Amino acid sequence: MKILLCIDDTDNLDSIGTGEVLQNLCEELDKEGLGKGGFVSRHQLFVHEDIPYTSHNSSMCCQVELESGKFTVLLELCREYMAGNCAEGSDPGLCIVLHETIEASEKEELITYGQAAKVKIFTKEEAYALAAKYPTKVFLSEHGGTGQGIIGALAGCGLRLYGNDGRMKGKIYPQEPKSVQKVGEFCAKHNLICAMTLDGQLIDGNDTLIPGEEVKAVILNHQPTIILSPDKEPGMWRPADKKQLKKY
Amino acid sequence: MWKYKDGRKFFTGGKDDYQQAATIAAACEHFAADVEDEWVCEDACSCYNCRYRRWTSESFQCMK
Repeated sequence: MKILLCIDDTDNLDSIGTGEVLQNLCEELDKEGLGKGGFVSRHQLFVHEDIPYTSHNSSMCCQVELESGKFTVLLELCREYMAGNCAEGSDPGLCIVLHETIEASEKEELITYGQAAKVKIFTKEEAYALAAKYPTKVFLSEHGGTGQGIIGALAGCGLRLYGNDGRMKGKIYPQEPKSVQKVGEFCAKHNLICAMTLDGQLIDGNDTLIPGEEVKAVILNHQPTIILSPDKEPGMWRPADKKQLKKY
Repeated sequence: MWKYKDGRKFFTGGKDDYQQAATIAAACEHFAADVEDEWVCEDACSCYNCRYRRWTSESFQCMK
């Protein structure tokens, strides 16, 4: 069974980032034979002076392929890990969603919450109230400090369910950064589902690309996708830069 | 470059003054790059990519 695992507010100004905490947690789950984590996505939430985030208010989410019959043990391990591995002064929250068991209307409700958390302030009580509606499918818990991270953790799951939000943690480092490559071949080699333009048009796999030293993927249609900018000639592309990817 | 409010220090260049953010960071003894996932521009040394910046709705607050 596939589950979503999202954490938020685990860091302070000098600690490792929340994405790294999540990756470490996934390694722990793998080591214990509980499940294997997929790619980690970063979801930007509302930036507002009244929200007590550390510096950017983003949450980190990944899908985990759960070993059969291991959910209770996994949940316990995740909660213990959060309690023992988040930074001093942080307000960590954890959300796990059994997303293969939720109904379409329930999924829509979580997505709506996630999208709203990008533009408005929520309280912990509101987050807990939504999770409490689905006690066998949504597991929300706080692990220190004010526990405000539950708001973003729940939102991150909603946005991951939406499937068109966020950037992938980490970067792709092409083996031949300066050589011209077919877009389709590049995507296949790096497990990217497709390439899109900045305005959302699908790019032909036979078009060409000079990947450069580093490539950042975003999440579109639930899958890692690269966003490309036109190069000098028609049918030739280069990866969008970080400024262009800010909106993801 | 900066405005001060309630003892806090805010960048006046908004979120898109990449040149000024890089210039300030290059001369800043406190600059430390944030984790790469939080970078918003290519300049490795930029206030926009510093772990001690806290984003606000209009710009960022320098925490140092």
